[in-house]
Amino acid sequence: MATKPETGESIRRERRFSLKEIKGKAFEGILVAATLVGIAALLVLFGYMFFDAVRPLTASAEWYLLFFATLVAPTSAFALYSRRHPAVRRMNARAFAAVFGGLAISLAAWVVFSATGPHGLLLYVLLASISPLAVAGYGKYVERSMFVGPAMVVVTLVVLLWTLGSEVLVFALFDLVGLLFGWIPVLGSLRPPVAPSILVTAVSTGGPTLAVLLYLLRRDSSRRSFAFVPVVAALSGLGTAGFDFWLQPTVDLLPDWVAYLGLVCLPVAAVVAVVVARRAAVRQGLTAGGAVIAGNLAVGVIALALSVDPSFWVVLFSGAVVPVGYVVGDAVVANRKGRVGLLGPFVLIGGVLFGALLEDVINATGPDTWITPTLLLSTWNGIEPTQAGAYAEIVGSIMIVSVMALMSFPVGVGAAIYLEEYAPETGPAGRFANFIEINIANLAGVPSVVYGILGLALFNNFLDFPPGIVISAGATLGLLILPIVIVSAQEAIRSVPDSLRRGSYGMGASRWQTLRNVVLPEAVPGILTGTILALGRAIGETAPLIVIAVPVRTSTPSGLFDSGAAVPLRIFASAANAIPAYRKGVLAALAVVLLALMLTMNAVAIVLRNRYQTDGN
Amino acid sequence: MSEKELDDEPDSTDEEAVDSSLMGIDVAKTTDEDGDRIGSTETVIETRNLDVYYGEERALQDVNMDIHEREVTAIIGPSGCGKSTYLRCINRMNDLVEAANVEGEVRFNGTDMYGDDIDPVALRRRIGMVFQHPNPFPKSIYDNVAYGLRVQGRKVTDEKIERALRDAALWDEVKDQLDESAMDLSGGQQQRLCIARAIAVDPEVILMDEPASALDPIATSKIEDLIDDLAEEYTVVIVTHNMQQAARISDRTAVFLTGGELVEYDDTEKIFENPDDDRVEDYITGKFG
Repeated sequence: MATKPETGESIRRERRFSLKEIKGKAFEGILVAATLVGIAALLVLFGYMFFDAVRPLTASAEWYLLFFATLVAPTSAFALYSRRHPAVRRMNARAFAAVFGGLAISLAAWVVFSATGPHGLLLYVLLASISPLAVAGYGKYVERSMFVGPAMVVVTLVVLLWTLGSEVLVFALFDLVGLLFGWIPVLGSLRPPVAPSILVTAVSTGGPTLAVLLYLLRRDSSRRSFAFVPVVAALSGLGTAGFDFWLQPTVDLLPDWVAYLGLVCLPVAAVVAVVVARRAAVRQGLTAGGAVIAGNLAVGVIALALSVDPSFWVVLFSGAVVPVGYVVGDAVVANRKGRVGLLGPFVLIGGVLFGALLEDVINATGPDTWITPTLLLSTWNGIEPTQAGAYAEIVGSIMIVSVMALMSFPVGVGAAIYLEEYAPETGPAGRFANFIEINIANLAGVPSVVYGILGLALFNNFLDFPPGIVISAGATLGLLILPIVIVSAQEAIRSVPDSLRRGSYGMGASRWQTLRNVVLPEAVPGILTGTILALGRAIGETAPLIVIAVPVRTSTPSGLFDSGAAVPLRIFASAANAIPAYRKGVLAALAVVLLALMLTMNAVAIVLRNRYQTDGN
Repeated sequence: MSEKELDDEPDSTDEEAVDSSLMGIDVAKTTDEDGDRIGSTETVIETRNLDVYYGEERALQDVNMDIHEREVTAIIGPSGCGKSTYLRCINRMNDLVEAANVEGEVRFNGTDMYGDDIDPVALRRRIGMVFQHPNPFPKSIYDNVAYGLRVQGRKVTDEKIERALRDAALWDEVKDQLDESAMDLSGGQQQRLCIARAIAVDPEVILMDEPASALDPIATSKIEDLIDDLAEEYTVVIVTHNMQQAARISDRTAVFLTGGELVEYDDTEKIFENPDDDRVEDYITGKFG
């Protein structure tokens, strides 16, 4: 039972404003002030830039009224309505993700494909998909699933390595031997004994074949599964030698839009078919996939009939219309609640279109903005600010970011998985792993220009790549964000509760099964968020690009081995332009474009994360 | 409590449950009407001179224990006495703790399970485990039960899932929501789901590490009933803090005391009514632990 405290201290306040209280309040006030100053500084900065880029004051009052009526009012009304109904809100979010995610991805795909030309990429896709699909099909046929996964990965890597210039790597290997052991006379003068193409073919055919053979031998596999060995040999041999001769000329004959069909429509149709088949039945899956292909063909035929090049419309159809169709179809077939929510993005888009239509009718003048179709779609002009465009730079940035993601994601996540799940914790090996971990965390803070020097040394000097090509730019920036990717992926993997791992092991799952079925699905949202935020940071990096001599150019890069281009480089190069309009308007507009690219990527990250999280719970 | 009181206890094996003089708790009888043991006398797991070290620290000392087929064996003892460690030795979960060092012999159906040619993953497929805190995977109820079958490369059929859920006394509660997330179930249901998950793959032995300690009394009693039923088909080894629980559901009881020593292992009735070792009596009567 409570007794009176014997010290007799009163629980009442001594005075209204005691010193103690004033000190507390003052501290709180300082913290509030710090927060406000930070936010205000950022707001002023971005506001100023936005003001310069868009020039909102040049628009007339009618224009604002018009767009308030057609855009702001209906959208806010819809937003308010959907806030009240959770089902509508969820549906709305799905529709937004489908429409704008699809648009963003298909536009990005389109600009990259049209810069590089679809034929070469189609060849890559064929090379990289036919062999693993054949392996998977064969695995299903002999009903052995254990080695299908590894075999698929191996053949894909082999084919891609070949097409991405493994000759360079083979030479680099010999160069490395020469560099390290140059003081030993024989080793220092070692050169490839045969033509590199033969060597690469031998390595890339023999490697996977031997690997599969050893794997089967070690596992005492059934006699039947040894038929796999010639299949893998044939596929990797074909992939490395045959396709170059047979497929390339055939693929080049295809009209552009047919190449786009193969490049975009077929994979999208396959994904839709698999997703639908998994949720309903195989027949429905095939129907859905067929519908996607039929729709694409219809778009192509209509465009041809109107004598328009169908390429863009084919890409847009597969990338944007199909996901929207999937979301709508899913909502209708499954008879989900809140289907009104599907209208959300269309209220927004309709508002913009309707406003633009009425703009001329009521003669309202919009803002004299610097963010114009010219800026987004034409090439740079250093003399006439209104004619300046940064299409090549935008395409270059998208290509660099794609390379960066492809390089840093697998390596970073792989390293994180190793460090978290496999690395020993005790003994000398454990101490070494710990040492590496600490150093990775330190690398995250190394200045970007240092990574530029690293890229310069590795790609330009050692590997002898042409200066400033897309792949070395992407790889350099990939190295820059690698520590961030590793650390954030580690955090995500660490946050998966141990009890789940133990549960999985207790069921007789192997380490790999536990990782794939339990740990990774839980960690994916965190991994994706960390990676994409890192990508967003790197898209604006300038210093490393300057160091590896990425040029400031006006034509789009035509491939991974062409010299790159990047929005931040253009901003940097034009900051010294003598004409004030550049510094006052065009550069601000370019900065807004850069931010928009970054925000789009972050939005994709958020959508992906939410998707996985709702799936998980 | 004195020896005299112990001796006063009438021999009451002919009743369904007997009143122990030590605690006044129900003890399940281990013999049927004819005086034969209910379970089989076949030994599934034998441990011989088992020592476990975590780094320098010795967690188990020289444990010798036989676990019999289709019986419920309870392991009781104060915190930190090594009972969970012992349990984890049985399906080699200690392999996952790098610092753990196991010496001695554990035999499963006569095979030394720490031999070089033993695959711990294959071993765990025959010795299932249920943990202290319910740990269903963040997947659907169906996928949770199917998980073991899938990772073991066995065919998943709706019948197998239904049977496992029925055996775990969960079917009636979840049969209409098999596609919903297992995380939405209550704690007791989650634990029964974990049991269903473990028995879906038809293990020979089920290890339970304080399966009811995180649950409320009603959920606990459901789990206890379930364990009783499971013992008809499976060999169950259960670690528990709760002595009443051990007394109610187990056929044999092992008492570990601090330092990882197996002090006494015998029929549950014997342990709770007339233990040989004074320390066991002290522990059961609550003098320490």
